[in-house]
Amino acid sequence: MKNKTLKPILMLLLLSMVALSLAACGSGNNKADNESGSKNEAGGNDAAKAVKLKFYAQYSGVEKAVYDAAKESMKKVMPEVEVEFEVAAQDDEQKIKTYAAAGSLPDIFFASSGLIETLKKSDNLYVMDDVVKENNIESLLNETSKPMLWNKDGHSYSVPNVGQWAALIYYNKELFAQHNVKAPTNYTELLEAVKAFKAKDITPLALFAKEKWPGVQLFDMAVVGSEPAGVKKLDNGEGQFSDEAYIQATNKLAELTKEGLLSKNAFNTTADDAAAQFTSGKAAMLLNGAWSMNNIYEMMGDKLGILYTPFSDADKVDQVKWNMSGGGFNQGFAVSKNSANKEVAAKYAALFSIEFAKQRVIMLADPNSILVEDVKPANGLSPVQQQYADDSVNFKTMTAFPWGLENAKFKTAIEDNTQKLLAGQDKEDFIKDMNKAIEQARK
Amino acid sequence: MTSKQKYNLALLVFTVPTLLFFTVMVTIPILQTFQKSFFDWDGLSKATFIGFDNYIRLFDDDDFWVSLKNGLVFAFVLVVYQIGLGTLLGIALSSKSLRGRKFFKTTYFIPVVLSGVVVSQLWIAIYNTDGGLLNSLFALMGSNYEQSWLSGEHTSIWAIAFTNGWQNMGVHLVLIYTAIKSIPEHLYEAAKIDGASFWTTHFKITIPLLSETYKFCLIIAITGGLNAFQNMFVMTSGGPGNISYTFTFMMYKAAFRSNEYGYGSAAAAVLVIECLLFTILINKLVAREKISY
Repeated sequence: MKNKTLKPILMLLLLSMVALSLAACGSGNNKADNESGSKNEAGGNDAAKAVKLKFYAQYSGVEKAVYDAAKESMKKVMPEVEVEFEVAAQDDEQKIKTYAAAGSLPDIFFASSGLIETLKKSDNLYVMDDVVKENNIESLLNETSKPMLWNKDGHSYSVPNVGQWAALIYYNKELFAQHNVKAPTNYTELLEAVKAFKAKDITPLALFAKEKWPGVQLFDMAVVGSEPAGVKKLDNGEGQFSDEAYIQATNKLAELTKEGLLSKNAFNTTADDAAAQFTSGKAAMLLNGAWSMNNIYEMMGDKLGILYTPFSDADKVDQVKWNMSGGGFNQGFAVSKNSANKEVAAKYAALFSIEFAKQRVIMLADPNSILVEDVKPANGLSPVQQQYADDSVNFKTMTAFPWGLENAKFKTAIEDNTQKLLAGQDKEDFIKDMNKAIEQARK
Repeated sequence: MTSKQKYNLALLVFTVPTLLFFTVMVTIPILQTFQKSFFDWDGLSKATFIGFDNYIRLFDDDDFWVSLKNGLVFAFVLVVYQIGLGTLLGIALSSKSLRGRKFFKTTYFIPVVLSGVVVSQLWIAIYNTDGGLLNSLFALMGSNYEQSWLSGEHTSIWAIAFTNGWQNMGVHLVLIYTAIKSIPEHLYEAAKIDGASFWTTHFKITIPLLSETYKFCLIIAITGGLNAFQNMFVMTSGGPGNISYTFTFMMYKAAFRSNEYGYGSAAAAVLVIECLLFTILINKLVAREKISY
C-alpha cells in the first residue's frame, strides 16, 4: 500500500528531474555561447572585430556556386566577417515573415518588393542609404539598374543583385518549320499558330501553371501591348480593371484558352515538366523568364527562338515592340534592423550584392548585368543570350513579375483569378471578380 | 492519506502535465485566433480593432462559400469511403472462413504509413490528364470519359478527397475490425440458432454494437475532412483559382499570401466552430447509450 502511494510521487519527481536536466542542458549551452562571445570581445583586435552573420538566400541549384564565389571574394574586402548561409524556403515568404514576427530575422536576407513593403511597414528593415552612399554603390550600377536601388519613398532598403529580366515566350523554330507555322509576330498570327498546333495534337504553349505566377505573367504580356505598365499599374493603385487594355487582354486570353492554348494538365504542370514538354517537341512554345534561356539553349541548341510581341495587335506592333513584361524593381539583399551587427551587415550586403552580380555574369553568363564594369562571362554568351543582350538595349518599358507586386491582396487575387480564366472561366465573371478584388485590395 | 486521496493524487499527477501541455499548445492559440479575428492585422505591424468586419467580409467572399462547400464534400467522401468501406472490409476480415486475412489487413493499412506527399504524388500521376492511369483505363474501355480530374471545377475536390480517403481508410478499418472482434461470440451463435442470415446478423448485431466506434470514426472523418489541407497543397495548390480551397487553405491564403492574419483568423475561427458543432452533433445523435456486454 505504501509502495502504491509512493509510485505517483516518485514518478512526478522523476519527471521533474528530467525536465530540470533538460533545462540545465539548455542553460549550459547558452552559458557556453555567452562565454565564447565574451572571449571574442575580450580577445585580441582580430577576435574583437570578428563578426558572424546569418544570410538567408537562394543558396541552392546553379546559384550556390555564385554565392560561394561572391563569399570568397568578400573575404578579401571584409575578412573579419564570417557568413553562414541558410537556404531560403520556396514558401510564399512564410518563413522569413515568421522570423520577422518572432523578432529573429537573419542579419542579411533576400527581399522581394512585396516583402520590402511588409517589413518596412512593421519597422523591421535597416535603411541602407548611408551605406549605399559611403560605398558609392550607385556609381557601380549602370543607368538602367540605378532606379532599382531606391524605394518609392526615396530610401534604399536593399541593394539589387540581378538585372531586370524580361518574361519571354520561347519557341521551337524546328517545330514551327516542320508544321509550316509562321512564328507569330502579332496576336492574329499567334491565334493561327495555336489553332494549327492544336489541330496536330501538339500543346501550343507549355505553361507551368501549378505555380501561380506564370498565368499572371501571361496576362501581363497580353496587357503590355496596350498598356506599357501592365498589371503593375493596378498594383500601384492606378486605373481600373474595366480599362480597355485589361478588357482586351482578357478577351485575348479567353479566346486563346478556348482554342486550346494550354494543355488540360497545365495546372498540375511544374517548371521541369513544362521545360521537358517544350524541349522534347511536345509543346511549341514555353513561357518563362529570361533567366532560363541558357538552360533551355543547352538542351535545344539553335532550335530555340524568342518571340517578343505575340500578343500585340498587328497594327501596333512597331509602336509597342519593346514594351516588355517582367522586370526587377527595388529588390535584393536587405538587412534586419534588429541585427546585432546591422552596420557591418549592411556594408557586407551592399558589397556582396555587387560581387554577386559580377559572379553571375562570369559563371552563369547573365546577359543583362546591372554593373557599369564590363564583366565578361567565362564561357561567352550563347547565340540566344547574345540576341537577348543586343535586344535588351532597346527595351522601352518593363512591368514586374508577380513577386515584384507590392499589394499582397491584389497579387493574391490576380494569381487566383487568372488561373480560373485560363481554366475556362467566363471572361465576364473574371472581370467582375477582378473589379471586386481591386476594390478590396485598395481599402 | 485515505485511499480516495491517494486516487485523487494519482489522477492529478498523470493529468496535470497533459492538461498544461494541451492548454499551452491548443487552448491558448485557439483563444488568440478568436481574439485576432476581430483585428485588421498583417501579422507584423500593429493590429487595429475592427469588430466583426472580418466576419461580415467572410460571408461576401466567394472563397468562403467555395471552402465551405468543399469542406463538406471532403467530409462526405471520407465518411462514405472510409467508414463504409472500412465496415465492409472489417466484416469480411473478421470472418474466419476468409483465407489470407493477415495479408489483407497489412495491405489495407500500408497507405496509412506512407507520407501524405508521396501518396499525393502517386495520385497526381493517376489523375494526369495526358496519359494518366485513370484516363488510360477509360480509353482502354473505349469510353471518351476523359477528364482533367484535378483541374475540373466539378471533379477536383472529389478527386482530392478520394486520395485522402484511400490513404487513411486503413485507420478506420483497424478501429472497426477491433471493435467487431470484441463483440461476444455467443451473440452470433444465438443469431445462428435463430436462423438469421449473414447480412441480418451483421445488420442486427454487428452494426448496432459498433455505434460507439462509429461515433469516434465519424468525428475523426468529418473534422479531418473539414480540416483538409495537405492533399490540396501538394496536388493543386488550391487551384485552379480557388476551386479546391477548404477553410484551412483559405486561412493559409489570407495569412501567408495576402498578409491578412486577422482575416485568416476569422476563417480559422469559423472552422473551429464548424468542427465543434459537428462534434457536438455527433455526440448527441450517435451512441447515446453506453454499450456493455
